[in-house]
Amino acid sequence: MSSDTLKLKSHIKKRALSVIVLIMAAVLMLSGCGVSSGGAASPDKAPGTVISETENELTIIDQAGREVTVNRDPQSIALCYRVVVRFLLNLGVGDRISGMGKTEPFLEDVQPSLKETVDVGKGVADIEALASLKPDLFIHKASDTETLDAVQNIGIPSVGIDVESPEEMLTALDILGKVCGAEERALELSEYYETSVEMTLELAGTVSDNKKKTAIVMGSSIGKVADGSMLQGKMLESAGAVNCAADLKSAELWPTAGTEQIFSWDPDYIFITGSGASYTADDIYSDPAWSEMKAVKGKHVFMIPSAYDSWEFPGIVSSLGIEFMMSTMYPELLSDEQLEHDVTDFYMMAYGMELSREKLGY
Amino acid sequence: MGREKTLNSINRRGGLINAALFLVLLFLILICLCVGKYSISAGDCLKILVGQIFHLEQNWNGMDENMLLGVRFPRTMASVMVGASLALSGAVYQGIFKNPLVSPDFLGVSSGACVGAAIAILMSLPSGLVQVSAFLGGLAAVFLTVAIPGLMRSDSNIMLVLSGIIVGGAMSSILGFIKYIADPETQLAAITYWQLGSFAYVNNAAVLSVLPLSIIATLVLLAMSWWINVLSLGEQEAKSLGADVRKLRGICIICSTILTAGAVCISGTIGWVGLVVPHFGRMTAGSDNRILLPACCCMGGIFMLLVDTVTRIIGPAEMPVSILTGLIGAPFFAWLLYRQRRNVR
Repeated sequence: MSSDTLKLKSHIKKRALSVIVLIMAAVLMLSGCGVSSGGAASPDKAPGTVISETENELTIIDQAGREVTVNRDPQSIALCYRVVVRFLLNLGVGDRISGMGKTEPFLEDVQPSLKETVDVGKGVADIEALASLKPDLFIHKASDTETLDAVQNIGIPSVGIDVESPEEMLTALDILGKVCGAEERALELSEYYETSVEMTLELAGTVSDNKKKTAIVMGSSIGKVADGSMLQGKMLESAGAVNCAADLKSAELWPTAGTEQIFSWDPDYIFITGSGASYTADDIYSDPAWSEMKAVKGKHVFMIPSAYDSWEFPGIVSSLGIEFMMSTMYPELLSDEQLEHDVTDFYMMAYGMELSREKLGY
Repeated sequence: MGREKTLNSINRRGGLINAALFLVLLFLILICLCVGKYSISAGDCLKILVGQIFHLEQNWNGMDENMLLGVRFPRTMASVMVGASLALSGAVYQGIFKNPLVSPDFLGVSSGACVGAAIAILMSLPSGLVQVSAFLGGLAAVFLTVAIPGLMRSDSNIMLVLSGIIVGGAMSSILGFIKYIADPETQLAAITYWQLGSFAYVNNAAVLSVLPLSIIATLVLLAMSWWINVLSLGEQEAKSLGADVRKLRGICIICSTILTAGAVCISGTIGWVGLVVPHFGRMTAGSDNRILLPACCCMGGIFMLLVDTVTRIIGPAEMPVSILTGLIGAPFFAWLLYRQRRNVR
């Protein structure tokens, strides 16, 4: 092979390498553009901070830390994160929901127009359906920034919210109030929730540490529990109980503590999640292995009410879950009559409905 | 005369290995029953166990008894049973298909069982029926795998392996679709559980519902160990020795499928055990299936028991068993390959 041929080959190789590097750089730049054309990240500013507002538009930091500009008073709202629906119904803008994923009888009873909404995906957003619907606003979970950015990139303002803790839930309420043009109602709901939780905390404060009941909330399978970082775990503490699983350190929701660990804790009370539990309190009572547990002996195993509306859903309804737990563990502090009164008051305030004990299943 | 002596010595050695492994397994069962997050002294454990056998008067804590007999005992039995079942079916498949890379779920049984369980979860059936559905799903997947070569009028092992890949792939897609339409807040976690594997939710009823069939399948396979030796020589040689290859292979597949589907019913999918343990068995007990198969049962039981006990006692929250079997199995398999690199070439 001549030296010229070798030089030519080496030249071609270098050119080919340059082209590959250029293509890769272009791809990286384009993908970078894709992200920045969505909600721009603003990690320094607190979620809910209003950056700017005009007569028609509002720029706000969502709970994904993105700076999002939305139209004021959106008339068409889409979502595939079911938790959001209750927030919007409470805010009085349920009739503006035009696209959503899964619905449920309670939600449809409150807002019959939900039956007519377009399916925009259950949990995972259907971008094509959203593009056809073209809502004024898309609301989704803050952790799924890929979907939020993808929807933003097709020209639909998308807001990320997070509701796993009471603090995040109140921030979500604040953001949704602002972007939906229902700020005053959001404030009213926040105050209602905070007053209710403060009341239970005050009552719980009257119980001395050595008289506090120990308790756990079990998840979809026996052995799964709510740790201290989960809403259900915090609800237990607000209700004056010591959450045995508070210190379980796990990245997963509903970590598996295991039956043996639960036996070792031997809690005074066991609450079972109402959302998708594959067992009932009767299953626990009838299992001979559990017969010597304090909670079983004292008939203190309860399912959190969820027959019609779940009281442990992230949202202001969780205040009812806290009251239910407190009234169950400390009836001398929060009577059954008081619980019934507060439940009636809540549904009237939040949905304008009067619901019976039988219907709610508590 | 000399050959007979050698055979006797092999049998004696095999018997000794299996007896030793069985004793180790029994010893470990006793040890594992005594350890856990709930504190029971070894003395109380023994008292409760002996008391149950000899119907002694109860002078121990009722809660301790419930923990030991109602929680730890079924879990220990389940882990031994699942480990033994997976290792035995892995060894049988590796023998009859002359393929060291074959694992018990290569005919699609695990993915079929997951699909069966997922359909039952989607229909909100009670947990007992989820188990039944998982078992039937596993059997249906293997039936499909075996039927495809039949439809193509082929009797070769390669066709069966390829058919297993087809059915396994189809089942994975169906499972993906079920997960897509499942309720992300309630059903998805339950479906994922079947894929990750755990003994956290095992109870006596679950173990007893699968135990009789698993024992029968194990006994049949152990009784067939000589014929499995013949099948492992290859189709032509086996036929020349008078073996009805089709029938024998069919029985082996049915029994191994029952064992694997039963294991998945109890614990969900657990990887690596059925692939790695038979190799370790061959290193320890040799490749004579009459010795290897019982050895694999004991070794699989020991391995699974130890892994489950570790997941049970370390950390505040339990991790899925498959994570640990993968962490141990993958490097161990790499080490095996390194040792046998000359044979692999």
